[in-house]
Amino acid sequence: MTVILVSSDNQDFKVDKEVAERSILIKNMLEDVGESDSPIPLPNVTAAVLTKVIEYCEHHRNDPVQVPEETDDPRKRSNDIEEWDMKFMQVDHEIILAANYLDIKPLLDVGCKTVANIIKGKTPEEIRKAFNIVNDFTPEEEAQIKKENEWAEDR
Amino acid sequence: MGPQLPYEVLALIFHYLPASDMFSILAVNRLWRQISLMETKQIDLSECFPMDCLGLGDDDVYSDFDFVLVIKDRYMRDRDLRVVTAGILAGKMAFTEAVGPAIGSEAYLEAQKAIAQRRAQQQQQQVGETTMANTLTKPTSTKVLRATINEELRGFSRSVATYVLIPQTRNTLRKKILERLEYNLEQKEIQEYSWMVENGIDPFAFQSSTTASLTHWRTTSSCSSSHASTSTASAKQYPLVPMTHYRFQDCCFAKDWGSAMDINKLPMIGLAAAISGQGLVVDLEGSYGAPSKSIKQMMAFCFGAHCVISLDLNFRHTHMELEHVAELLSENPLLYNIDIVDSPAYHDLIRLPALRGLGEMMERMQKLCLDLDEQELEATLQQARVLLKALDRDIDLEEAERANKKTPPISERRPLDDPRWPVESLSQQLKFAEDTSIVAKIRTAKVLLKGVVYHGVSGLINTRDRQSGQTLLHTLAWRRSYSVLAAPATQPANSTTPTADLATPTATLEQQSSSLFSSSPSSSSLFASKGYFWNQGPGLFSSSAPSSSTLSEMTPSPLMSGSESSGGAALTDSTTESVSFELSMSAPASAQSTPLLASGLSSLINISALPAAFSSALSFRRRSLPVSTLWIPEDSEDIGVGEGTQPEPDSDCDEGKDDSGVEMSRVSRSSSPDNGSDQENDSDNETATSSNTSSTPVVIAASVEAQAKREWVIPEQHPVAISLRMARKLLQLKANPNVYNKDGRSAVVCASYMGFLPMESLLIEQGGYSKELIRIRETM
Repeated sequence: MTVILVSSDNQDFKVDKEVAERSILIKNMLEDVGESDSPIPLPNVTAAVLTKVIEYCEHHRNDPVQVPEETDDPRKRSNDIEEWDMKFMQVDHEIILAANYLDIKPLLDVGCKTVANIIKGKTPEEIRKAFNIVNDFTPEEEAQIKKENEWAEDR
Repeated sequence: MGPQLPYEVLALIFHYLPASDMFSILAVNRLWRQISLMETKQIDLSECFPMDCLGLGDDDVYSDFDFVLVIKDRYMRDRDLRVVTAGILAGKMAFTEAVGPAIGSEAYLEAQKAIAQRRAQQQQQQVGETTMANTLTKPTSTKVLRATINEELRGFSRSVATYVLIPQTRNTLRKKILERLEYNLEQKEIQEYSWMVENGIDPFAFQSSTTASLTHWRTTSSCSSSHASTSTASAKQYPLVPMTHYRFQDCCFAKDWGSAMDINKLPMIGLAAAISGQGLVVDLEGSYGAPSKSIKQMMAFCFGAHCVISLDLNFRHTHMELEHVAELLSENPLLYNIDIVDSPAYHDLIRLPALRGLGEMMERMQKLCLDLDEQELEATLQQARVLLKALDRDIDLEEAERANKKTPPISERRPLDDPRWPVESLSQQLKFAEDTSIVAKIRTAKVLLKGVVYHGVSGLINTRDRQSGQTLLHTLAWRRSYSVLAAPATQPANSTTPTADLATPTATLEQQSSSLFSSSPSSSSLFASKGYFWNQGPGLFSSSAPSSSTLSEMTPSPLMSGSESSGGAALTDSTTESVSFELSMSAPASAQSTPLLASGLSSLINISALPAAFSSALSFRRRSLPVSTLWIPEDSEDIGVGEGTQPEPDSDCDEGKDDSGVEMSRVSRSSSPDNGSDQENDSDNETATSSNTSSTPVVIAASVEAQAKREWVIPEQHPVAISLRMARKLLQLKANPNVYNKDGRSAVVCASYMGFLPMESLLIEQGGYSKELIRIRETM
């Protein structure tokens, strides 16, 4: 059985229901509407991103559903990304946003780990540069933060 | 990159970041800062276990502590640890998981229950306070802090030093401290401490405050002495500064499992030293891996408390950046009183030609000190002054010349003893690794030279070997702490009005420095004029041990006459007899082999003979933190059981005074390195004790009545008493091969030494150590 997903730029994607249901959002929608051939609109996901998401879900279609307890570990590791996922995640943040919107937890996790790995070891300025973030601290605030954190910096 | 990630995604990302990166994300922008502060689960006070739920002992043992911070990951990287520390200081308690009962176990449920009860109590308290409209509603962590702060100051300081005190911010902590101090009974002193906290250190204010705090004791004392002029001169201006002795050697930074906690405690220890009025002895030898900045932070948090720093001047065992050492030595205004104490390398150093014979001079002075040859000592001291002054001048000249040339300094070889270039000479005389750059050599030589020049006088208290040097370090701490209490006992009953003895702050400082080696007020040293006062209390050779205070004044303590005598002389009744606190130092015959050790022991022993009038003075200070009293030689195979001082492990003595000298001698360094310290030697040691005692050239002069008046019991919670009990317990444990081994001793002593229970829990986790060993503190 297949379902039709419609991206924000009105492109249709015909995918197996099993694959589509990797997204909790889509799964819930399908459950809500019941048996129907109606296309599912995904207004927050562009065709390009949706292509990647579907690719991911296809690849992981046989993965077991994540056990909730496993995700509750407060000390999460970011160095356990699969090789395929690592290559897959060489994209921008939109795929993370899509994963968040579509509620695809494994994809979101991979995305977060990837971003975390990018952040690791970087200075605030490097992080800003990497993520194109505007520094909205006042100079005084910045100085204060620097002062507070100074002693924890590496020798 | 693409669009900004939303709050919830960022929060999720942050959970994947190690603590070491938290500082970075805190400083990215407002949103990231907010998320990192609000959403990271690493920072969570609610998961603290009450101490009594850790299964480490009876509840009452840990009743002083609200919570325990346990870091599970003992191999956290240094930077992580620093971040965690900073997290604590920033008002959040950062940790991972408690090394406590397994989740879901009965103990765990009990812990949760206890936490819930505690929360309920806090909420009740909060509601009550809200009703009273006295304070704003604050987070739980603040309430914990407040609850801790509201305890006795001593308890508070102990909590700070030992476990978790959770300041909302550093400023809040400061404010709370000030709040607490303000209402403390010793208001006069406390206000000045507060002033120090607010404005930085002012030695004069500090001196005057601490001196003033002694006024009452002096006025109430009715001591008599036949040496009014000398003893009064030395006795009256010394501040009472109990010392916290912090030894990095025991704490195995970075490469051992002890690292996790100690790094967290460094600033807290410094802070505790400051707020409790204690000084701090920091033995940096063996501080492998301890981050320089953390040590500096620790020092900075002392807020001007008296500090003694022991450095290995070759930096073989001290992992500190040269710049930081230099800064500590000469630039940090908070550390106006750093002493370099004990280092074999120091003696090697001062014998180098670049030092122009300083080593020999020091040796001579030391001998003169021991011989109490004041005249000759004075003359030699003058020579040393001239020499050090010249060195100081030449260092400056050399530096200026080098700066003018702006070229590498060693462009041509000069004679090693070229007087014009002391730094360069020294750099050529020191042994460096082959790949050491010239700049590094010069820098090292400069630091070392300056250390010698500015603190060279400390060489006088050094001995040739590490062992006795360590004893001296400890002794110095003790003398600083308590000799002031003995000093009034040396004053005559008909001495001048005590209050009149209180000099102006300036005079106080001058007289302190001048009393290092002579009772003559004119002997103020070069170092005094430089503002360096290596001895804030009566020195080892202070005028409280005047040359006239010789054998005729020495009296054997009746307490020492039994089998537990340790060979030290005790004070006679201060109201009737003349005494000297430094008597054993001046006992030439018996002290020949290890005079300095004897001095250290005697200073401890003599505490027990202090008049009861001073007990309150003793007790107003911090009562606990046994760290200030227990000293364990780092490389010994035993617990410092020395020949000549070994009593029965569990003696029949029932008085604190009886215990004091004897028991402390157990934990003090053996007076002879050659003698066995194993358990089988204990009985021999006892024999030696008796022998030593009997050979002490003392004259019995105290009457029975005087003995009765001398009765003085160390308060139960006094650091002395605590450490004595600890020492006894350690010895008992040592006797049991099942619970003793060197490493275990070291670790457990360290744990007990610092009141450092999480380390004990780690020991349990390690296995192989008896719980009995770990529960040393139960008896305290």
